[in-house]
Amino acid sequence: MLRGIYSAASGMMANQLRSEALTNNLANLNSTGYKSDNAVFRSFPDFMIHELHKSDSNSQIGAPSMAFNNTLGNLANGVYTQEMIPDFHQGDLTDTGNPLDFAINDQNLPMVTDGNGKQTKPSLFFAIQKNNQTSYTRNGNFTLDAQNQLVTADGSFVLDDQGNKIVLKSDQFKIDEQGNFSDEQGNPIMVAGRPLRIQLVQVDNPYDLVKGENNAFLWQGQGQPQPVTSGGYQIKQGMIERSNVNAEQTMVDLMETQRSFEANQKVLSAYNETLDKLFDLAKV
Amino acid sequence: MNISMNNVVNAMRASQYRMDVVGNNIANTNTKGFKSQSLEFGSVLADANDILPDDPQAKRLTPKSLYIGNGSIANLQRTDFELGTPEETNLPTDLYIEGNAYFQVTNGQDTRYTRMGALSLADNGKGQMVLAMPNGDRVLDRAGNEIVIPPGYSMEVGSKGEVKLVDKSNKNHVLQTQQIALYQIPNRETLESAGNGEFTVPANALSQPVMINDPAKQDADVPIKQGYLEQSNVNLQKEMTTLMENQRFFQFNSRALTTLDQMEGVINSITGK
Repeated sequence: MLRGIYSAASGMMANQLRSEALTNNLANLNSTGYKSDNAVFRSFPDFMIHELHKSDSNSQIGAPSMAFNNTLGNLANGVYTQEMIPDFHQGDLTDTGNPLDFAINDQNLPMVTDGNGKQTKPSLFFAIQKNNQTSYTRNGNFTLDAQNQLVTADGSFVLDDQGNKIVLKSDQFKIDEQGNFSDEQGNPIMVAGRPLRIQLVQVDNPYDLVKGENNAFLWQGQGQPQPVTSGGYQIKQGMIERSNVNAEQTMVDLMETQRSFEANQKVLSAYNETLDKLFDLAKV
Repeated sequence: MNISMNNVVNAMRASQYRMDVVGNNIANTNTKGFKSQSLEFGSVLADANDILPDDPQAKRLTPKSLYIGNGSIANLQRTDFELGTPEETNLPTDLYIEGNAYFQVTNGQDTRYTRMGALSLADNGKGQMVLAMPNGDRVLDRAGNEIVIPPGYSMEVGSKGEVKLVDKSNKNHVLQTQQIALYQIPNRETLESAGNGEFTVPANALSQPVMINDPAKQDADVPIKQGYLEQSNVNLQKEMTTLMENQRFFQFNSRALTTLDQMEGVINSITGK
């Protein structure tokens, strides 16, 4: 059959998914702590194609050949969007002056070696909890709810280093670069005899995180991410980490996607015309 | 294609909300005691989609399924409580709170909190002139009573809010009866705007107003300055930057919408000649 007609259709579908990822990035150009997604295409599994109608001395002319050695080569039957890979690069830090805005700067975090001996760059996240489900976020736009708990915009509780909710006495507080809370006078805020400290978790392989709501990620890897132990990071109060979406790149990619979509449609149309010709012949 | 269009439309809507907030801030650049507001964006819950075809040989970096986001929404509006700079007016009924505290006012039913210090004398309906807000809400003293200024007296306000009534005919005749109450609200994020720069504190909130400026104390916790007004804390440079950035954000998304529309046109012309 005409295999190319399916390849062209799959190309259109893959580009459509890519446009969804690109427009989502674009829509989150101003979302705090957003990490941009890259759509990765992959060709359909290869298969071998063989020449079918080859006349040889043993068979009738035009009859299918049983000899499967007349290989034509490999052919993949199209393309699909295999995964969305987030880009975990640090976004720009911007000053907001709001004491309830926190940003993480983890650019100087030491590299870690994974199981395969490969060096990877870990990422730090705030641990937040909603309906007993813990997720991880870089979106530091926090607020205080009616019970004086530190929460995110969607009402998830921000956790301290003991895994508890953070309850503050007033909105006048400070947090140092290591994440320790202190009150207006600079005295450490104590909870049950321990200084109150925000929880930062270190995720060695951030690609095991999947996107949830409000720029938060859910963990899908082995075990649980553990609180950070090394130094090399700062928490900045009164600052936010901006989305790391590159608007120019996204617009260019979108244009490219549009043209690729169009090109695939042209292939489809060409096949359509070919089939038309066939029907015209058959009409006689 | 619908997801793509939803993404950009969500973003454009969020952008318009931010435009509303920025516009309101700019309009209130000269409103005494105005506190600027900000609007933050977050992403919408991402859906998990199946990947077709399911190729077990394909190496992946991320967990299975395609997580495709659904655009962004404006999800957090906050007030910037930074102190506005004082402006000298020399009016005895203009009061400036030099720090984090609020006056308590009432309209006869609700108790509200405000920093709007442009007060005036108004009739309370019982033939007395009392200290009131421009909308007629009365300022309260530490005992929860209205602050009465009898005719023939002028008002002097001390740093702790003590109201001295000076006889206009005899400057040595001074009455000191009442003290303007100042309240601190520990968690100002719970404040609900009631219009005219007034706020209410929800009854169920953990953080309830605390009266400060105890007369027994030597110094005021938060001093009151008479003859000054608090200016708006809107930072015009910041607002204009946000405005420009927001406009570009809107443009990017509307451009993307045009592109998506063209892509739909391409689908429509598959069978066309």
